[in-house]
Amino acid sequence: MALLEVRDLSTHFAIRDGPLRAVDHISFTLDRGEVLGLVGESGSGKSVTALSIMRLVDEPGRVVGGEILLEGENLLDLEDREMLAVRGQRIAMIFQEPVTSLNPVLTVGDQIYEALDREYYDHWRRGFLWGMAAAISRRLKPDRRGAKERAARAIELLRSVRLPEAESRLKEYPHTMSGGMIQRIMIAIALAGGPKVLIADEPTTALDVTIQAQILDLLRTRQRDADLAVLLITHDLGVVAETCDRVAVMYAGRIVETAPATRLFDEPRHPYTVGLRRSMPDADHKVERLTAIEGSVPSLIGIAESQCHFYTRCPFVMDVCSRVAPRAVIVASDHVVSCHLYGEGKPLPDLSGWRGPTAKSAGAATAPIAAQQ
Amino acid sequence: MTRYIARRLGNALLVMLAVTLLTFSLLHLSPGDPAALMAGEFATAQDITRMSEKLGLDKPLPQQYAIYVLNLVQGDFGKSIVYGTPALPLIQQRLPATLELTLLATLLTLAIAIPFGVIMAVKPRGLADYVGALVTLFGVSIPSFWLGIVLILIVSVDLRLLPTSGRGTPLVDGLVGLVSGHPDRLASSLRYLVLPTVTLSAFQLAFIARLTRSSVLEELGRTFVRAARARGLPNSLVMTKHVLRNALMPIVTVLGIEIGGLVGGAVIVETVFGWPGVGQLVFQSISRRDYPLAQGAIVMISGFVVALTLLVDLAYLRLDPRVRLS
Amino acid sequence: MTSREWQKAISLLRVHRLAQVSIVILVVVVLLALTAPVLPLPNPRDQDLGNVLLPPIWERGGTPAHPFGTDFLGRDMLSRVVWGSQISLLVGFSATALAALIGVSVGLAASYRGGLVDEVTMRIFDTILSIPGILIAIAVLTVLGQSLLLLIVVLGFRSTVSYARTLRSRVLSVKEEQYVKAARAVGVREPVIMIRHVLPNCLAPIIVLTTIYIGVMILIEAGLSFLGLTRLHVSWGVMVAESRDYLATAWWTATFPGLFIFLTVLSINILGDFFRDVFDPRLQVRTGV
Repeated sequence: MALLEVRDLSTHFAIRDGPLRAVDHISFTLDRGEVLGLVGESGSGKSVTALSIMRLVDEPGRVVGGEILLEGENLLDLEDREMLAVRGQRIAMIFQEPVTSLNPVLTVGDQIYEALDREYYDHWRRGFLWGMAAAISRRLKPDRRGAKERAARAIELLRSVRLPEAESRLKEYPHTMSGGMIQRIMIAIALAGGPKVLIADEPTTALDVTIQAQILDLLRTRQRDADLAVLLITHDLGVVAETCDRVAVMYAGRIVETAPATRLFDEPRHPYTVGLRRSMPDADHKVERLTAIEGSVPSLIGIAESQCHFYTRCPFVMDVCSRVAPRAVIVASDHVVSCHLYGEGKPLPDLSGWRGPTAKSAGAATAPIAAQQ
Repeated sequence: MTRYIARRLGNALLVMLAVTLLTFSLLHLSPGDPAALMAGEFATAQDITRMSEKLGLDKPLPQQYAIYVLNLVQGDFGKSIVYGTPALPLIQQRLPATLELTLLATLLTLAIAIPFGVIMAVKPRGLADYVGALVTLFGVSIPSFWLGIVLILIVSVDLRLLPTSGRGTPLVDGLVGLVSGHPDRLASSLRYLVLPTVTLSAFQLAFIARLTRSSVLEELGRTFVRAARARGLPNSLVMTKHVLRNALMPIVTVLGIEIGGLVGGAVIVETVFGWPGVGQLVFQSISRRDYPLAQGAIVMISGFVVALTLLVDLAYLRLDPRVRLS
Repeated sequence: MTSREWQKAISLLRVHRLAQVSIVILVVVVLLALTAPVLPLPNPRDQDLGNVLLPPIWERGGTPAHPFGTDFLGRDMLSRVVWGSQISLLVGFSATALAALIGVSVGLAASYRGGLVDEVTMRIFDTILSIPGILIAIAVLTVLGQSLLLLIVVLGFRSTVSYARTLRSRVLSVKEEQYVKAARAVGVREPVIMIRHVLPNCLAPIIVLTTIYIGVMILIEAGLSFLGLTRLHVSWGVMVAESRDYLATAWWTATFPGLFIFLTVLSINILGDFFRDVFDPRLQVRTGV
């Protein structure tokens, strides 16, 4: 049984001109010790997927269907209070902009303790009054020994992510630190609760390339140490190539292809993935020009369900693509594609000739996506 | 942090100087002989001459100003024309009444507006939000003197529930009375306080409620709030420690700025309700051309406002540690 | 205002019933103010001591000659209310316009320059802002006479500072935007950059601030008139002040002028909210599901 299994998950946003299907019937699995990359452009629904798993989607968004099975248990069936025990302790998440991930008016230490001080925060779980009572009694009767223990654990945590001068960091405020340092702290906080799954939403996008490498390296190391399952969300194929074991490609709210990482790069099967691959500069193959995918992502507001969302930009488009939604087809072991080019008994298509813009794609670009990430 | 406090203190001083400069120049800019104005309508030529000397009218202007400020600092606010007694005690005597009114109005505002604003923000487009939006809209649009009059009309005249004007037992005495077994004293205080307090706080209440709503909404959307929830923190804690605490900062800032408006509003409310405070004194003394008293009252009220603003600034210090460090 | 914002404004207006009503109310009030001289109304200053304190037409004792009744000097209430709108609107709009003009220019110039000029200007402004406004207005008006112009200047004075400060924070952020840097790199001269690139992007807060301040100005003018600090004869505030002695018996003398102040300011505030929604990038026009 997979550690985390997402089945047919759908998350919609209630918008004036129709529901925005940010996540549309997606399915994937995540096992212990593996890094699954979730790739897609802005607006493809990757972040909303992550938030859906954590059940942190805000109004007007709602998870409208599917199952999220963590060790066999459907998270969507849990009460809010039960979900609190899941977050941080069984699944943890780190976000894109490290600097805004911490409250600027509280010390770093204060926020690290939040992940360590479970008993104290249990009071707050019972309600505002209990929490305030606990806070006040703590003020009046400070638990010095407990505080020292906590501080020691916090320092150990910071050292585990190779943060220099861990002791003095505790008393500092976030704005004194760089993005890379804060992201390390966020990783430390995330792992403090001993979760089995870590969701990293574009953890390095806001960072310098050199820092990026360090953070990814750190992630990989910690992941191996703790046998973590990592869902790494990114739009950067380079990151995927370096860090991920398997990859799921998202487009317009749907997963179009899932495969082991090496396979995805060597033998991409979905036209979108092929296009992505070709738009990447490659050290091995020298080309005169990079191929771009014509057109832009269609607006998800009120988009038709019975179609392949990519059809307006696909050089291999067929008649059926605009009328029927493609189903997932297994093309090789652990390699699944959703495209009408593939199916029972159909021969594998030759995607090497990526033709120029199609007649359709030339005029098909619509307004940019208004999806909430 | 000391730099912050020093700057605030310096600012306060600057403002007081500006106010005194203003009152001083107004006296000299108005048509007529300043000495005559200060001495009053029924002054004799002798009185005027004496006043002239006192003001130092023969000396250069900057020196006159210095004399003026020095006098103020020593507590010499001049002598009231109408009452014939020194101005400062007259003003001081009325201070408690105004303090009562403004403090109570502010307390009322904070106690109602902030929680309500939070509720509006937490459930946007819910029932509380719609009702609140309408009510606060009314609150910031209604002229306070009219609200006061309408309240008097309905509550005092038609329903005869509360008195139309005046002040009852001072609140402090009323509270003491509550403890010492004389609750009727407190009742007497409150009966007269209700309408003026409600009138005075109306605008502020509406304003702060709206501000709270937008401030809380803004904080709710922040990444660190989401990150805190992702750590498994319960909602009550996230709201208190992260959302509210941060949302309060701009609210406190605005409160500090609004104090001036509140006190200005007190002038109107005290006039409408015949409340014997410093605001009413300002108004009365101005209409009666009692210049020394008017000047003194204005300076006093300004000082009051400046002191309160300083307090608010210090409170802000507590909220935002980043200021402490800079 | 970009075309996108225009579109948003129009589509928002279609669903926003309150805003629609507000516009109607404001148009009516403005029309009344503008057409007062030509409307078939009795002279607002004509006293008729034989007909004092007549109730409005729908009460017993009311007459169609005075639909809103008469005040304590027998003057027609309807006429006075209509004429009163002139003062309120005049003061409200001109004070705000003055404040906007000066505040925006000063704010723009100072913050764009940056450096010492900016610092000093802001310090001065901060000081001014700390002075309790109404007191100063009271003081100035009493002492220096009560002309309309002075009233407008005094009212506008404080809000000038608000405009300047708001402008300043906006300018500071716009200054860092790419297109400004690009323009500068291409060689466009500073004043041109200011006017053509920076200023249009500051319009949003200016519009919002203006709608707030027109309402505030009207309220303050009414308040000052109420206190008798203006020499105006036909102002809504004055009317309310005059009505105080007759409250118990003649509620209409206080209610109508106050009601008009309230409705006018309310409409302006609703529109202020409307514009704030238009300019809020996070707000999308939706009917909600």
